Amino acid sequence: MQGATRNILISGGSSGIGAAIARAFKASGAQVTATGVTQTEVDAARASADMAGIALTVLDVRDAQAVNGLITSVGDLDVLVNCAGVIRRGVEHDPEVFADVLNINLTGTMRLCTAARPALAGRRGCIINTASMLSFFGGGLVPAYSASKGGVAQLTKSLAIAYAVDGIRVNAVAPGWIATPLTQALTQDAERSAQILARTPLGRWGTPEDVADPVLFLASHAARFITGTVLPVDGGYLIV
Amino acid sequence: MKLDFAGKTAIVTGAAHGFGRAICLALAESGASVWALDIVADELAETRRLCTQQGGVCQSRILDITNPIAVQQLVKEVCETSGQVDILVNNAGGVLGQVGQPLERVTPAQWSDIFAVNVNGAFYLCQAVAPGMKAARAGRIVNIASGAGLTISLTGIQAYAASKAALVSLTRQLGHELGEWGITVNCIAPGFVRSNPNTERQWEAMGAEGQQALLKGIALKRLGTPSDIACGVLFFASEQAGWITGQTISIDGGK
Repeated sequence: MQGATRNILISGGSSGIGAAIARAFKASGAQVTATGVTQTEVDAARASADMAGIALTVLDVRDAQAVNGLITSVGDLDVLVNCAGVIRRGVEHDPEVFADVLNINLTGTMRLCTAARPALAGRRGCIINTASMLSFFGGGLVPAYSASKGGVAQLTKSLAIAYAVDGIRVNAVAPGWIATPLTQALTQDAERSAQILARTPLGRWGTPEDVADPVLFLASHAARFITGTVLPVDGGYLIV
Repeated sequence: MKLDFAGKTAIVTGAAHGFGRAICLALAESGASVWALDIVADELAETRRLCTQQGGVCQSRILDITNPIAVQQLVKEVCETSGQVDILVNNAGGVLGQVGQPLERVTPAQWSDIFAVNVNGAFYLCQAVAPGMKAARAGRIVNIASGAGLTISLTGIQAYAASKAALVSLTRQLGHELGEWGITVNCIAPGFVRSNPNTERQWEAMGAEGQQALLKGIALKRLGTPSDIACGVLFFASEQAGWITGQTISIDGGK
């Protein structure tokens, strides 16, 4: 579905879903740069054999200067994947925590999109943002995460319109319940896991790879006429 | 991303031209054994010829999908010949040559004819392939709806918009029902694509000004092609889309 070596940047690509996306692009023959928020995270990813060949670097998406510096250093881009994000379950009703989560998940995505636009325009590249099931329904314990992901969905549609003039497509995936270190407590909680699986038509937890493949599709020539879409990848959880 | 359908059997309805032909060609090129179905014999034969010419495997059959008995017989034949049906693409449908008219003037037959093809046909095919897919604990169903099913129809044909919305709903409902067997059901909502005699007429009827207005409203500033739609179908039909079900994706250039 695609040709020559492509240059890919993935924020939040040192672990979880982002790392699976980084590995999938690497396996497709692309040149991949993935970021993690701390040196510890980046070092851990560097030590992992399955991340071999992926350039790893520290990036705090709240730091505009750092974002601009990274974009300058990676050069012309074919694909930007915004995967950096946090969830602060239980404390997101605190307005300061709320603002910080928005700053990372939503404004951080916008910072990278804005900074990368010229680098993407050079190659008529594309952006893939990470929305969520919580782009579609609310979460009482995670108002900031939900608001940020609802915002990412709207941002995706708005930038799809704005960047089309440069030939840049902007889409998002909305992952459902995916088994990652972040959800380990849930996958190991027999009762909660059973509730989730009961509402999932495909009857299993998703894997980071389940999300990575649709991201590669959206980034491919096969998706050349798709822009402004938010694609749920959730085993059917949202349709119930 | 390399999509490989070697060893897979696919049924495509509405295969005589437009999206259906592009979907058959793309599936055949990727290794699938394709069964191309339509009621338009000449063009259907041409679809088969094109698939075979590029080295693909394609059978064609004349089938009226509004006849549930004929649909059951066809699927039985496919299973006996090719084994299991792995992929069903419900692409047949359209406006049946109708044009938009005021609500009061639409006859019951005009209304129900469009539903018979766009909704009933897809439903009968899903019914026919479900037992085999359940037994295999795998399967991919891809429905072709329309942007008209999500917003309004450019054609002004009420039954077209309502029937395509029904297909979006059927996609969700069957995704829910069949998930237990590892069967995914998804849908594509194409924007306006010049792909058959009906859409050619609609394009002409817009006039130069209307055509410009349509293009201006599309973010990517071009009309889609049947191949743009086929690419989306292949993705939903692939292993790579295994965790997506019940969804409708717009392929419309960001209208």
